Amino acid sequence: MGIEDKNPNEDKQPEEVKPKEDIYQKLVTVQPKREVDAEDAEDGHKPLDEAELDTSNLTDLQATLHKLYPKFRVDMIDRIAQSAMVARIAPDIFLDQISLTVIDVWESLTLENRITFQEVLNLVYFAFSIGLDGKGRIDALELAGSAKEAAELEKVTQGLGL
Amino acid sequence: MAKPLSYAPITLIEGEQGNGKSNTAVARVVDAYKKDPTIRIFCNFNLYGIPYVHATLAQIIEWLDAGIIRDGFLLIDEHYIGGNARESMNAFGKVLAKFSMTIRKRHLHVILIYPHERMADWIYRWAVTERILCSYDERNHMITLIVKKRKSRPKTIRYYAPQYWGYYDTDELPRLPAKQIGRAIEAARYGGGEDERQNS
Repeated sequence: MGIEDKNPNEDKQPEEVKPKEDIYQKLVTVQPKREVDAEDAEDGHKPLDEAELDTSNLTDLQATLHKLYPKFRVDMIDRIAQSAMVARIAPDIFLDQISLTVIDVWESLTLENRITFQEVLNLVYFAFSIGLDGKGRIDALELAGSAKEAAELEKVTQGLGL
Repeated sequence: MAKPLSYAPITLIEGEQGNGKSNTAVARVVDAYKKDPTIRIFCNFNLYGIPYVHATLAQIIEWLDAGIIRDGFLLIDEHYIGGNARESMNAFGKVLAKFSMTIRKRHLHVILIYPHERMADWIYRWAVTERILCSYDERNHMITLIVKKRKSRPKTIRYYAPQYWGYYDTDELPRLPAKQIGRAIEAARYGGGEDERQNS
């Protein structure tokens, strides 16, 4: 008697496999929405996902500082400006400082980052005018102080129930 | 639509009792359901007004193993019951820790709710992609969230809580695992000594 070359599993039927979706549909349930004791619950309030989209990542202080102390496109101007805006520039050298800086920046510009002379002059003037007489650092400190005061005030009034 | 393997946010919501943790978790799910009514929702507490599958912690493990819990949202409230850092080495905690490592492959958005992040096992804290700290103002019913995602600055969001009150029951009590209850009762009844056991 020869050995029959037969797959022992040939006659077996594949087991029935239930798709996972069927199981989920059998388990899922819906209960009616609860009645809530809030008169204006459906009164056009923004849902959470919309509120998330509206919110910026910056705090108010950060957003304000970003506006008051901008970054400049040209690297050289930006490097000088970041210091100039919080420096204490004496009024009597203000114009000379601008003049020398404009010339230096203009001569350093390459074809890749070239901008008009007018733009160089304006950007340097804007940056230095923020730092004139130390006004830039004074404004920054005042902002920081106001933000801190506002935060402290909020803490206190929360406790008082105001 | 196939989602990339990286689509697997794990959100950890923390805050004092009554500060809007459950409300925030439910809000996320309800908003997602309204955008896409085909999403699958699994939850260990009761939801109302939207289709979902209620799952105890035991069922969560069983269904994770069976591949049923996938492609949707998994909400676990009072997560410290199973994922408490102190219980991390029991069998339940070990399985949950392994589950944490495979969340991305299951295309799940997991939302864990803890009173405090430190109560979570370190594996969950490591895997978390978003942290939310909640506070609730009873005067105007506004919930304030501080949301911190990985590699981004925290942002503050405020929303009106009552619009989601109808979708869950804030007074629902979580169930502790029965064996834990049994062991605690036995320990309380007999104390630690053999003498006390004989005298009872």
